Amino acid sequence: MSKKDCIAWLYRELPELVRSRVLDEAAADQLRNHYGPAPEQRRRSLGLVICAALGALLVGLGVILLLAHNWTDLSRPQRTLLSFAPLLLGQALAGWVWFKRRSSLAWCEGTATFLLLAVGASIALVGQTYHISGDLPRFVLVWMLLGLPLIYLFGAALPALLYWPGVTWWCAIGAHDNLPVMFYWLLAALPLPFWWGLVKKGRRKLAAGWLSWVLALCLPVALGCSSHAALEHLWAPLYLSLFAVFFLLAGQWSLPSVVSRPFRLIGSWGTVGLMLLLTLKDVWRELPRHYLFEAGRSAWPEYLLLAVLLLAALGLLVRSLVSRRWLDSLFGLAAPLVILQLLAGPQLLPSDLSLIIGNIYLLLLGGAVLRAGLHTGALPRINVGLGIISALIAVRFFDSQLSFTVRGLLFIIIGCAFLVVNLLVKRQEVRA
Amino acid sequence: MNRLFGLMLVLSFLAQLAVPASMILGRETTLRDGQQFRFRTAPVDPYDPFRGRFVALNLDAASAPLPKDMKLKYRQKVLVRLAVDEAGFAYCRDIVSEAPQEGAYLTARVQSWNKETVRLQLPFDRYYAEEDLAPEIERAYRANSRRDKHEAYITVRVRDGRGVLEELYIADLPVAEYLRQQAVAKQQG
Repeated sequence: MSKKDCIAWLYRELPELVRSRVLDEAAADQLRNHYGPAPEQRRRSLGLVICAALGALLVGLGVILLLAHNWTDLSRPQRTLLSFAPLLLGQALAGWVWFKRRSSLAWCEGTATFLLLAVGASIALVGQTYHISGDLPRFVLVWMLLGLPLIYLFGAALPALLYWPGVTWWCAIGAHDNLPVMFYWLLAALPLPFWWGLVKKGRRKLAAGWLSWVLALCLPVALGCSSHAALEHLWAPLYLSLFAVFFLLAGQWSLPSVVSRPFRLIGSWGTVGLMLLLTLKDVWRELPRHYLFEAGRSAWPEYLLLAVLLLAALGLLVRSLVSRRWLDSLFGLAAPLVILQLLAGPQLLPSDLSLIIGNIYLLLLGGAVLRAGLHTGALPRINVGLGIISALIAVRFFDSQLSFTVRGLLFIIIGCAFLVVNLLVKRQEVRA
Repeated sequence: MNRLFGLMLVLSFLAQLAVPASMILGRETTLRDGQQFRFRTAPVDPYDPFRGRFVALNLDAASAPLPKDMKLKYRQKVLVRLAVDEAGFAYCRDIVSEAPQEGAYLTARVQSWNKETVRLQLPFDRYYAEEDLAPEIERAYRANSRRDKHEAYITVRVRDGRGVLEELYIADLPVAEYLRQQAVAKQQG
């Protein structure tokens, strides 16, 4: 709870405290004098900002749909003029806000969002008028780049919220068209200083939180699309490294929880999901066939991306180990573990052994999370630990590729592990 | 600092205006000065979330002989020389690596290829129409092509590798006029 929220809460409590004689009226007045006027403005202005931004978004989308109707009765010169109308209107509004209302966040958010959509509507209408062939990736990229300055000039978060999915969309459709989609990482980095500014100042937490969610969701999608040329060789190391960076970075930087939560959640669930996938016999056996280095020289951007992500993940892992954050380290261990297994190959490390290592890793991870949860009494963490172990059991139960003997042995090991974990926790509780 | 931000705002406004303006300028020049060609086509009716409903043009001429000395890639941009057949319709004569000094040519994208021909995406593969009109156009074309009486074609202006669609014709009439006549005939009959 922020200081303003605490003061608002205190002011709401004061009448009751006076009525029940915990405080007298004079003390209540002194408290009011000390903390100043009630901070009601904040909530009202937040509501205003959200309404303005959503209103502008809806109006802008409405303009796009109106223009998409394609008015046959209008001549080409009329349509050409009309294509500039939403853009000029948005620019005039933005100019007015720039000079007269720059201190109002609601005006800035609303105007910047409307202008971003007007840019798209304008280009789309010219395309419609001249029957321009459907080069969607170029349209999306130009649109997003023209809207990017609005994020910084108006300090507006909603255009950034639209920009990241926009460039991710470009990456996805551009991959299909063989465009140099590796530039996505540069494009995605462009609004980062704005987002980081919001996070560092500790203001506009709602906007910073939403931007974090969008970024944390867009990056994994774009990772697959941007490295599509070598994805069948590198998907497991690439994704595990990204999730490790998400999880460890958000854990090591002292970020507000609203900002770190999306990265922690996606990083942890991504790691668990991928490791579960890699315990499937069919999936694991397919991996060495697409051996790590077989993507060839032409895939150097993908290898460079992997190197950057892996080095970052390893650096963060070492830092986590040094500061004895064992649970975080266990999550971060997945990427180097799988890469070492892939490097060893089926000759040095038979795939059955690799599968057993994967199962043991997940079991340890689930057990460690469960133990940490029981230790601190944090119910969500206990559930996560149980969730990981239950998911492992469910996958093994339905994994008909494994022989009954191996499955039976695994079930016994997991069952024993459950019992041992419970026993350990009980003993600790008794000692405490 | 404030002045710098103001300057950046003006520059971003200019860039936002420059993109549609340059798109319009290039197309208007081509429509005014370009050489006119007719392309046989089959229209079908899909949808674009931003630009509305359009008629996808399945162009007969969207293929060329496979060049012997050129390595092709999917979605690669290529230059295509145009020629006109005996019936007066355009076709892609060949794929060239450099812009020819004489004759009209187009910039197209490679879609697929086999041992003999390359399938191309020409820069005019959609005709935008009012949302109620687009399905009508497709229906009208299908009705006509079944009876094998008339054919659909587009006129295109070509200049310096750029092709801009002028009009879609069914039964030698601009499509809007054709649909109007059809509606009148339906009312009378």
